[in-house]
Amino acid sequence: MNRSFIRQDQFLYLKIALGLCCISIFLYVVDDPVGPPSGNSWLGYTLGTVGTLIIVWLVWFGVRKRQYTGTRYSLTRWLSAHVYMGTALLVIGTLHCGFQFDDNIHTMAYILMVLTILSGMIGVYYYLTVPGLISANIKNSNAQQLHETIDQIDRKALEIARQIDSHVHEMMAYTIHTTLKERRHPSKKVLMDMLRVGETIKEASKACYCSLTKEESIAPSDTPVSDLKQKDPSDPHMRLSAIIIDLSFNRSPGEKLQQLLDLINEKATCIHKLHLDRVYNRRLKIWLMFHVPLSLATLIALVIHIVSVFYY
Amino acid sequence: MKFRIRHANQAGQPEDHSTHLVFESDNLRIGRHPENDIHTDNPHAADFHGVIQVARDSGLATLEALAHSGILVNGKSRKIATLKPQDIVSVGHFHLRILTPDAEHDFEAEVITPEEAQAHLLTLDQGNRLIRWIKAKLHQLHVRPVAWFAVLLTLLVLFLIPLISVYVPSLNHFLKNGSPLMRAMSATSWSVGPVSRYHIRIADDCEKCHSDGAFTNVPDKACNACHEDIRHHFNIDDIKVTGNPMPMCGDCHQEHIADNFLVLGDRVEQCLQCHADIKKIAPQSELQSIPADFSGEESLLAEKHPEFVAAMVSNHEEDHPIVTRVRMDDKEHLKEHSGLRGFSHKDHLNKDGILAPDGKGGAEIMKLECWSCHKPDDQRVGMKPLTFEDHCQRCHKLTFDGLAPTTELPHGKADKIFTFLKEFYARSPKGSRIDPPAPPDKNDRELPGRMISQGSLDFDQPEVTLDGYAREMTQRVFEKGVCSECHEPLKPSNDVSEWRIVKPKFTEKWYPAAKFEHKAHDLYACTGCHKVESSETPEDVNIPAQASCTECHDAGDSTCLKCHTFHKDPQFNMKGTRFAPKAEAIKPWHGNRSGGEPDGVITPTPKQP
Repeated sequence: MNRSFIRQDQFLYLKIALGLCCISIFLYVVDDPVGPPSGNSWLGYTLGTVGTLIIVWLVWFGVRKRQYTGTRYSLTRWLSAHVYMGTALLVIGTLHCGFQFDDNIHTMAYILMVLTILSGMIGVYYYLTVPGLISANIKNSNAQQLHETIDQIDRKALEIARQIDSHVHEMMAYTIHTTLKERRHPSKKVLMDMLRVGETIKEASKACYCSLTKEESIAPSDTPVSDLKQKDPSDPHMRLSAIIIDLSFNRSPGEKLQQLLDLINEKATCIHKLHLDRVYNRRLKIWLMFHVPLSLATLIALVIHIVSVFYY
Repeated sequence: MKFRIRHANQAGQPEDHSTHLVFESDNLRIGRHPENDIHTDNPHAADFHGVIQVARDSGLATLEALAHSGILVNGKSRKIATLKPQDIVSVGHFHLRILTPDAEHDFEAEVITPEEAQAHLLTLDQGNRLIRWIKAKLHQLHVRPVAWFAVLLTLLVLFLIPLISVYVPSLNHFLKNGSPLMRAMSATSWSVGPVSRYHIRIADDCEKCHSDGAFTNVPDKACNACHEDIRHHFNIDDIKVTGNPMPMCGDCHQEHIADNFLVLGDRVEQCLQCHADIKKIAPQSELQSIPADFSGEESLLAEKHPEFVAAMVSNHEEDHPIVTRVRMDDKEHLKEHSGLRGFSHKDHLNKDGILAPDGKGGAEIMKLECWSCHKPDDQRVGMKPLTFEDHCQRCHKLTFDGLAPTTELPHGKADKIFTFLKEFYARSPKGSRIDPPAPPDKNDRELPGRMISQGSLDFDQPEVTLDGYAREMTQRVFEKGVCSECHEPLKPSNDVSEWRIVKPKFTEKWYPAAKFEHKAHDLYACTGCHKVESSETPEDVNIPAQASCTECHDAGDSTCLKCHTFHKDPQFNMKGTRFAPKAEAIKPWHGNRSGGEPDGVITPTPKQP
């Protein structure tokens, strides 16, 4: 991910935000209002005004983001200032209210503001990490291409499976059916099932290879071939393993089986990538689902807060 | 068994019977293998995917999956399922809809497209359909509708519900008794802070104070509606002010700040608006102006606060005392004319002690402290008044005749003295003579109880009569002895029975408008503020002046209201209405009476002397 918005202009906006915080804290410390510190003092009104302007400006970032024409300040600059000024708002807003909290809409507005800022901090973390993960995951590809690749693998796998054995074909059709659902509605469990099928086939394949070449089994000692047969026969994975083992003893697995295993592994990799891609993208989408509505809710709460303060 | 499978009709097309397949067998097999009755080349189908059988007796069709992954019936994987009309059996992209068989067939179904199957499945179960719809919508959810939802929810929670609860008391009551979140939606949720405990009873009734509607300050009339007896700052009969210098209630009193907070403590600037040049605002005022640069900075109070002005009782002839204001640095006029004489703090507080009662001749010494006579009142604000009987008489007995050394004159009853003496000597034995009082012994202390008569009466002497003797003794106790030791005698113009003393009147409240509590100064010795060690006469005023207070109090930690009272006028309330006469307002202020005026308010006098 491009980290330039953090270091934008040699941390210019970080310095501005820190300066603002320091000034606010200094004034808060030296101010001796009549009564306890609150928004109802000259400092309270000052900090409230500054905070209001910052909130309006922060929300305006949503508008600026959608202006694709060039402006004087780049979007990265805006984002940098957005992040740092938003964080400073946490200090300014808290000092504005003088740590006075109660069961009222003002505290609700404050809570909304804090939630927005905290969600913004999570957003900064996401935007620093997630895009890099997405790139590393699917590289130059994209989700649509992965889907197409999986479709091709499915077609090939079914064809090969049918050529091997009707049971293998049946098994393959089943896994395709489940992964079809998985590709529409992500479910980690289904993905893990899919991967387990691949692993089961791999292990069975190794056992098969060993039995064919009369070599000692290199399969993990805790999953001997004989055990596989003794497990629940209704378990599709076990049945598949059993089929492959039967095939091994019949000396007819051949090249097709290896191709099928390769395809399953390839598909599992693709689905895993697809799953991660979906998780990463969903992470950003869910974050946006919180941050933007919270920002607007904060703006509305701010308006109600100001109106109610001056109403009475 | 006769099975009929037909293709679904195209919309608007007549039924094509030639496309119907009819099987006569025990069962109907579905799969990819050519041996199946229904053979599909769908790559997802197993070679032998499932088989349908019809019970001969009941006619019920049963589907059994041959593929281990099961077969889909109405979208759900089944190993075995009883089929009913309108059920959908799916094998990959191949879909069969079960129909009600006619009389000729035992089983009937039609092949439908995936789209039809999908649409049909959606109509099967409303509950599932709704859940699927919600899931689909959630999956397609975009930020914008969520943002709109958040905006509307915020408006609802923070604006509409509080607004509605203003007009629906039951809703407000429900919200007020709920969780903090619910309380934050009640009618008072717009309140900017806690209502002080003084107004807690009307905390839920915003309009009680905010009576002038939105975006306006709380008007004074709202305060006066309840606080009609709150006293005015000054007597508007005596002091005419120019302009409208009176601040609004809200300028000094602010709500919604804290539970125990209602008065803005230090508003020096507020006071200075008038008191920086009090003559300009109130030309008749006799108050001293405060320097305009008087501020809260440390040590400025000592330099800039005007010298205190004591309110001293200055007449003693009338019941209604006249109060004179004297600056504490005006030593010439700063003398208390209480009517007492001869009293010396210095003598009483002698470090070597003084003669104890009955200690004549220096036989017994006792040492007095301030608290020997001055006791704090119950609130430990001021001191209890001193009385002769409680504080003086133990040493200073009112004996007057050696013949009756334990008999004392009645105290506080000057008009009864003549009668008392006449009755006393009427009961005395004959043959006494009147001798002049003996000269004072140098070792003797000067006590009021010195015997002014050492002889006895001799009524045989023609010049001595009971009445004459009593008159003589009355004159002596007032003029030369017992009474005049402490009191100023008032010589009668006519009859000796009219001897009186100047009625003592003490100033109880030297700074009547100031607030002071002894209990707040417990840490300090009395003589730290009251310089009585050198006081030799009762005229001395031993009350601390400004310099004494400002040794500790500066404007940094002591506000105007720390010592001064704002609402202090006893005559008028803040609306300018004169109070109805009250007992305490018209009660004469006698010195040496307990209590005094509440709030240290002195009874005003119509004229200055």
